[in-house]
Amino acid sequence: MFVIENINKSYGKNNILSDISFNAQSGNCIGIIGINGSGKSTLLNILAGCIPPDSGRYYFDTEGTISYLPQENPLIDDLTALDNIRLWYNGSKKDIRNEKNQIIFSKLGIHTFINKKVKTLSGGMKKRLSLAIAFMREPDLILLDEPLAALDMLCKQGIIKCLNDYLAQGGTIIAATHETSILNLCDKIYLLKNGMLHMKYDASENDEKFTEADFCKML
Amino acid sequence: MFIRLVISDFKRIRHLIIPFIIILAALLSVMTAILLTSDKLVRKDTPSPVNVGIAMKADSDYAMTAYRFIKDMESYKSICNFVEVPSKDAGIKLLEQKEIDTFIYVPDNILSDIMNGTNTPVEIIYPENGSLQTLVLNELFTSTASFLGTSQAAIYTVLSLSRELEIPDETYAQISEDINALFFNHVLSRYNLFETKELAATGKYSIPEYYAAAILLILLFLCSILFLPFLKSYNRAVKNQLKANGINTLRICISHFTAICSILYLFYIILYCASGMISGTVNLFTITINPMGFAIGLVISAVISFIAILTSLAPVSLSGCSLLLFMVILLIAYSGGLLIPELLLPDLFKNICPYTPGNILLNLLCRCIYT
Repeated sequence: MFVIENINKSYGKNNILSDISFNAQSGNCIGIIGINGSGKSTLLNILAGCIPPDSGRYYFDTEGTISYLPQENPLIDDLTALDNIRLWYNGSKKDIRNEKNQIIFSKLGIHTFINKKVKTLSGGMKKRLSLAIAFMREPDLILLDEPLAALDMLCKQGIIKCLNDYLAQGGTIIAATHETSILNLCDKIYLLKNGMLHMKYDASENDEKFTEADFCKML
Repeated sequence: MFIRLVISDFKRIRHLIIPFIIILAALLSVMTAILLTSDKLVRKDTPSPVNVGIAMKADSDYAMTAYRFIKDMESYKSICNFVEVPSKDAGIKLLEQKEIDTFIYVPDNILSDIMNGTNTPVEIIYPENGSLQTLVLNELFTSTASFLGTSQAAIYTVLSLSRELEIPDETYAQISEDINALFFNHVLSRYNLFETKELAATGKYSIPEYYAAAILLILLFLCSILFLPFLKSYNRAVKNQLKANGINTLRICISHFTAICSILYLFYIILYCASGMISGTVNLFTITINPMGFAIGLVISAVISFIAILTSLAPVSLSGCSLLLFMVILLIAYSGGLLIPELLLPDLFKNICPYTPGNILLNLLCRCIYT
């Protein structure tokens, strides 16, 4: 279980996050929604260790690792897809070619552009590559910031399938998104508004699936 | 992760080598052309000899000997070209026609007048609006006259003493002859009294030597501008990812430094060896290929890389950063005497010049490659 306790963050006089606390159980998907500038990305950046919180803490109750897929392209454009994998992947060169990783590659269609430079790839390819790298690291928790933004339907479906498989294997996801296809995977959905986190949906208490109408109602 | 970042930086920068070498070759060709024609670009301010007309009656061998001694004196030889003129009128005419720059008229019997204590003056005539050389020549004549006067005083003292001792005329004549010979042989012939020293603004190095080293440095500094796209290529997401993996800004800078410094050093080796080969074919300067020359390249590459990385951290766009680095290089080059030698800089820059990175690197480089 990943625990977040009383996280606060402000930039100058702007209070971005106030007393944020929630838990993410293994195999759960947590959705965070909110209008632009509500602090979703800041929260994920704090959880990924990119920026420190003003106060509060977050931890795994047992040991665990985190992968983070930010909204912007986190790849180095001058390098090939393979060189980016080598940079961000913790394992050896031999490990990159192991069976587990080959499955990830084929699910996300990485083979078709593995030797191409990232700057020549489309937005969808870059997103798939970033996600592949995140999965290759075998994390206990994946933080996703708008993972399906500006992708075509086919690409979205492939990524959703991968996320489903990951959850089925016991992985945990915390996703900041406006996409109902991702929110459909969520066990809990929180609304981040004025720096405060409000629980809006809990799958254990609702038999019905989360819909776009629910989402609009929340905002 | 850090090692993997360094490796990936090398992978990124290796693609820049070939375009950089092409740019470097083009810059090197232009700079070499400038260097090879530097002798023609810089006006040599060596004074041309002044034509000095001299009219004198050779009433004795002593007069001619004195003339020959003066003519052969090093100080006069370097700035005077003596022209023998038959008479005073002819000399003045030549002066008016600007055939000669100065005219010396030695009156008749000057030697015998000196011997008997009559100080008949030697006339030295300068034209109106004389040149700087004329002024120098006047100073030289004044100092020589004073120098001759001192010697003459010594001769008169001896002769006067001889008279008071009432020595025989024959002996007196012998003493007079001997002391005059001493005067001519040991006083006037001391042409080494005036020492010629050649001073250059570029110090102990010739202009081509000085600028060959300066160009080498400037080229390496300019190359660092080409690295800015490499240095500023990480977007916020990449920086965040690196931070999440324990790679802070300092570590990113160290990784960039390692890559840039290595490539700059490679360029330095190419330039150093090329300069060494060029210097072997032209007689302008001699660059020696030696271990110290290779060692100083590492220091130069490190300093330039450091300055480039420091500038790249400025929170401005790539083009703004390029302009900033160019200005920094210009300031380093100017204040360090890479564009204009230290001696010719304004006082403010002359005072700080020895402490600037450009000047320190230039001096170290010159010391190492011109051994």
